[in-house]
Amino acid sequence: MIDLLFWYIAVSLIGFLALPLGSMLLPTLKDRGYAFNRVLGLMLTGFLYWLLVSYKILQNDPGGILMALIIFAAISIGIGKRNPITLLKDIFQQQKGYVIVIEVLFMLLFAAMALLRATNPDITGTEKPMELAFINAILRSASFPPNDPWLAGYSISYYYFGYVITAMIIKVTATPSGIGFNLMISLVFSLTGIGMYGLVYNIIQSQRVQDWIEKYSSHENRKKTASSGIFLPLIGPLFTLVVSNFEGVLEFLHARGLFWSSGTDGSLQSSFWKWLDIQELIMAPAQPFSWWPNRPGGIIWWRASRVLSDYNYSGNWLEVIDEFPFFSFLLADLHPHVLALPFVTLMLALVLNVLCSKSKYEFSLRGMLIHIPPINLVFYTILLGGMAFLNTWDFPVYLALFLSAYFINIVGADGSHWEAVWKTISLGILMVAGSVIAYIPFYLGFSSQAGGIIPSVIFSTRGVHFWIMFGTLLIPIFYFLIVLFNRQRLGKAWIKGLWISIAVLAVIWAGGFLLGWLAATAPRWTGLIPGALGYSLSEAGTYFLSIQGAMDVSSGDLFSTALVRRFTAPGTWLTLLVLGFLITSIVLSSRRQNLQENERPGSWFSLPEGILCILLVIAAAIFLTIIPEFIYLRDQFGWRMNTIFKFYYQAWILWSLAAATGISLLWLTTRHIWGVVLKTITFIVVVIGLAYPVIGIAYTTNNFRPINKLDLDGTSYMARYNPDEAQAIEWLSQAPYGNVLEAVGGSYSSYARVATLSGLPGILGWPPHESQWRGGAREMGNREIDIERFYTTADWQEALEILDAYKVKYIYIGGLERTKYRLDEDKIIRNLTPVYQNDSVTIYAYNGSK
Amino acid sequence: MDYRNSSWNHAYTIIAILFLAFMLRFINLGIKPLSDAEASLALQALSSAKGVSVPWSGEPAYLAFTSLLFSLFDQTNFSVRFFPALFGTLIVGLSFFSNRILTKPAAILLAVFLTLDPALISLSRTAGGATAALFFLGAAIVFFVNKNNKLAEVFLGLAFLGGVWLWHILIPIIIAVVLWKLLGNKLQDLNTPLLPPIKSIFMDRSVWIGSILAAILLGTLWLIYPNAVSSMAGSFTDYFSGWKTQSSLSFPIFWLGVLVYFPLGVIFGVSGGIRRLRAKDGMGKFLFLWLISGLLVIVVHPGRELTFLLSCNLPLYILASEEVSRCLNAGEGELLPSLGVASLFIIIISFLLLNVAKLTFGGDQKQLIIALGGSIGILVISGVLIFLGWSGSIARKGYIWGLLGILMITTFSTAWRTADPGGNSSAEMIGSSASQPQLNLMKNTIHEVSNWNIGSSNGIDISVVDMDSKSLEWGLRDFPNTNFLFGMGKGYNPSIVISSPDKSFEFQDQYRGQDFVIAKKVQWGSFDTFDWITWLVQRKAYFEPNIVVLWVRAELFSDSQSIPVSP
Repeated sequence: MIDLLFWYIAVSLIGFLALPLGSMLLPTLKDRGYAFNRVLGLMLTGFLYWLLVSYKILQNDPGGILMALIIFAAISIGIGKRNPITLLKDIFQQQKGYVIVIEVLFMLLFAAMALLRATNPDITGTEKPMELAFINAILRSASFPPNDPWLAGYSISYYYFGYVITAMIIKVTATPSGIGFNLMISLVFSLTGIGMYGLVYNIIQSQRVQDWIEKYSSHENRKKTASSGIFLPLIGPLFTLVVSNFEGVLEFLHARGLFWSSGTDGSLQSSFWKWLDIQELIMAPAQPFSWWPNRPGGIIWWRASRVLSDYNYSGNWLEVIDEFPFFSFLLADLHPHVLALPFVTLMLALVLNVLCSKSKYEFSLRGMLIHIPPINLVFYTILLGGMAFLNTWDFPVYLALFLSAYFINIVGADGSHWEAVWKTISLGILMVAGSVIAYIPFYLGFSSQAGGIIPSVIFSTRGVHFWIMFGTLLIPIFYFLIVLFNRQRLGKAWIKGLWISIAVLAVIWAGGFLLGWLAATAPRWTGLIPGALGYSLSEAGTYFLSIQGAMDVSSGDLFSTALVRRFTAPGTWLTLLVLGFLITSIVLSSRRQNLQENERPGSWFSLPEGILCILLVIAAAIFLTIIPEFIYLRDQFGWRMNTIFKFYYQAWILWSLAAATGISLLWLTTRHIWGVVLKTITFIVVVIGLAYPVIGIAYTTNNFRPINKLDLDGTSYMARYNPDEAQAIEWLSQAPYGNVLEAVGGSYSSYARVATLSGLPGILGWPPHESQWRGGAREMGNREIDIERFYTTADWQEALEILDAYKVKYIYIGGLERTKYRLDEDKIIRNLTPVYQNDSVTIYAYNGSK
Repeated sequence: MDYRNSSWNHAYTIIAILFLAFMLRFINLGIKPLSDAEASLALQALSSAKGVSVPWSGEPAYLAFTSLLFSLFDQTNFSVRFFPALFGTLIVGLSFFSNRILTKPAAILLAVFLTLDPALISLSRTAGGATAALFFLGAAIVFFVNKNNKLAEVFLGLAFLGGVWLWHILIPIIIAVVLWKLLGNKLQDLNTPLLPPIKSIFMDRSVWIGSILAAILLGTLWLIYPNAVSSMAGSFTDYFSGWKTQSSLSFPIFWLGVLVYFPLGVIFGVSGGIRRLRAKDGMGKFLFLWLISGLLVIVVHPGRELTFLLSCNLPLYILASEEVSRCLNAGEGELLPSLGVASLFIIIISFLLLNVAKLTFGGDQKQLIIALGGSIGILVISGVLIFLGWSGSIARKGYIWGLLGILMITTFSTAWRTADPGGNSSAEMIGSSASQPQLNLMKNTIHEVSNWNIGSSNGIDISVVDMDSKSLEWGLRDFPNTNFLFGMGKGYNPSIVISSPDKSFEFQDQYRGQDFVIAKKVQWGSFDTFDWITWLVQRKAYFEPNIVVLWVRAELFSDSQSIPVSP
């Protein structure tokens, strides 16, 4: 409890200090960035701390963190030119209700998620140990880049900014890392919540959106606007964080036995569930039927994150991840895509701010005209650049969104398309270069696991899966777009919109298939290219065919099968095409309307920027979901599992913002029957979207009857189940720094527990994960074999060579070492003295061969 | 006495006081081995001087200056403590610049009190940033008062480098200011020339920028030691980590210590504060609040030590010096009679103390207690008689002077014992809680063994096993072949092993061992009444030793080496 309080105070203090800078960077927002001040403060303090420790200017200790905070405060107050106390007073006086809602919401979400975590806090299973290992390694590293906890001698090769920020709060609040882990999940949840609330609020409250609402609302609705102005945006965090996909409802229907009937042999059959083709739900439900999901086998709350299925040409099933935020928080893995969530809301705030900017400011940089003040540009670059360090996948997405907003802003102001294109490209180049320079220590130590682009010819998402995944968001979005479409005076804009949408889809489709054709035929034509390039291309083509499951198949067969699959299950691309058509038509008609009626003199579009922002995020999500239909990133897995996972995740954030804002705007402007329809749709969507959270919470908390007492310490399981190991590891975590040797085992196992919990570098942790992080096993070398040799050999000289080769300081012998290897401990007993010993664990120290 | 008309006397007085301060701080400064805390700082400075990047703890000024000293001169115990002693002496000198706040006699008394302050002496003879923090902060104030803003900014910047002690000093001041405001006072009530500079410090952004630049540039010694930047902020967190430590002095023992070590300051400072409170003197009220805040923080601090009184010794001694200065003013014809009464007081008190002292050496306890009672009786009766029969003013003055005389003698004696220039290590509550009486002896033994076996006094290989002792690490820095091991391989047999006694069974087969006391500590909590009286008089107490065993491989001794026989 006290740790929770310390975290609240520390994060709020950082947020308070960020107020002046936030108000300078987000001046066009109604709240002057109030909802994002904590996130902004954490990101920039974290950046300063990481950067200065990397350059050995600051130490990785509480003093270093405090100094980073002091520097940040000085920058914020100095550059923001405002006293945070008077600024806070101003904002509070002007928007008292909003500030109170933000603060109460932050506290409630933080406490609620902490309570949820306290029912099941263990940092075990999935990738939680890896994340804790990163945090502990950062906490114990003398400087940055931090040491890799699972590969002694190397630094972390991963986007670890989120873990730096986590470690920073842990260190400055003196929280044990096991508690800090769970508090960080709670903090991410609450910061994302207030961020989404702030986004919806700022869009609705922007002046031009208010004018738009005024235009379309009745007298009664206007009264509603005033009263619900601060509460209606709560739908933002609801849609992003809580509302989930349709799979939850399907679980209920499945458990109830709907669409199942007895076959001739008495077994249950269902063509509906077979057609749905969701793993585990294909199997017949347990009998007697129940309204509560209780099917045997599998983890019931897990399935919602695996709705999609891919099949290669040969019909082999391949797992695809389709996580969404509520699942992430239920799972509580502190993965980069989760850690980045609050920062994503900040990026969206930047997008909204740029879009709404009315400033005529411009400066020239070597001939490039830039419409953003230089100081702001520096901070925008640092913030956007930070996304690559937080979750590399997010960087291109939010950079593209930012640049698109910038483009729309310029076009909106003067209508000069081509000039705007060049200005946007120039800014993009500048920001990318700036981002790389700002985070250069990260890039120097980072080897990406991405190995290029692979055409997705045979893999495509079935429409039914797409709608199960995004239905709860797409329904409100469609409703919003149709109403908007209806309100626009379209003329012939819709025809143009339709052609543009079809053309864009056709280009993407053709591009993807062309790439696919080149890849499929590569083994034939690459012979014409001499040298290594030809060989590499040939190898890439072979790899492509093997992943598609079409090694011995002609390219014609492959493409015809792919086309058949796409046309027999066209739901996804048709949905996206219709969405694209609606958006294009609305935007084009907005331009036309303004030209004809000059609704907004001096502006290119008749639509307010807030609504353009919604359209922009919907469009961005369309691209995020259409791209993996045709191409995906090559990684260790080979198929599009990770690309779908990361792209769909961002699409969820963007569409949830659009859905929430769309509903809010319609709530304030629709009348009569349309109002009833809206309320009914919203109610149904929310109820359906809450089905999964109900199941998930019930299962993960054991119906709020935790097996152990409520506890936030995610490492206490070790003391409960293996007190000897817990004591030994606790001893190591206080011992002088040095490499530790322990048994090696596979991913998601309980191996690597010593390095993970003590923060000392282990010789090798989970080998498959190391391989993923580094794009290969080169750095690992023979470590796995050498470790086994050390434990099993009777030859002390051989053992010594291994100890020396990996600069081992501690040799750990516990349960896993004894069960995994045919341990020969005699050689160690003969030559080394134990430095720690209890009933089942012995730790030896080795001081070098001297 | 009118100092204003006697500039020569004043100059001589200043020189004499500074000389005394210098002596008390510098004589045999390096004679005692370093404690673990001191050695930890010294090792950080040593590494930095050698260009090795090590994390700095929260004492940037000390570490930066000492690193520089190490890179220029020998790395001795003296050089480890040089800067604290220097700043501890210079603080005394600052008193002479306080003429805009204090009268000349009060300023001189303040200098004397600071010279003899046991906390200041102890911290001046201990590695750390305490004296630097106080000196830089004091110098900044002095230069602001004297309108030399540039120098003031530099010293304010240096004060940021004061480390943990800066917070010890600043936090009571902040609390005092808050209390001052809460009690409805305004800054103008201070009615002092300090006011304009205080305002200018807080309002002028350039002052802060200048100070921060000075702190960064000087703290890092022109960016040579960037660690100082972290260390600056680290001092704040280190200060709060200090709240997790547990003091060896319980609450009553701490107060006993305050009375024993700071009687002069406590009696005259507190009485002066109360008098000025009653006189509704704004500055006096603020100083008293500062003093009370400082004492409160110390009292609630779980790791409290008597040296913490440094955080409020400025208000304590300013109040005391003004009070004493006021008491020393004698009316026409009162000087000689008052001196006579004071002499009587001193004689009786000396007799009383002698009897107390004799109690601790045994003898007829009953007779001694009667003598004690008798001397107190004589003291009271003679005072009353003089008061009633001669002059109330003379009686009061004489007794106060007498008390002052006695307190000056005891303060000087305490100051001398705290400084401990002879290295006798009497049992003191103040200063380093652990001293290392036999570390040098152990080093000499190693030198001899090394000389005998390899012909070099420091080339022998030494392994310190399972001991995390910074003082040992510092003490053995001259032996280049020293390893600090965490567990020792069974086949590995270094010439010399140093370990704790509980490891004896591991070495006794192949090694011969000798115990050395490397630290000793008084357990104040175990004292009974008689122990306390003994300690008060003789400063003797039972020390709990911290023993290490020096193991020398048996074959390295001359009696185990076979003498070659000529054919």
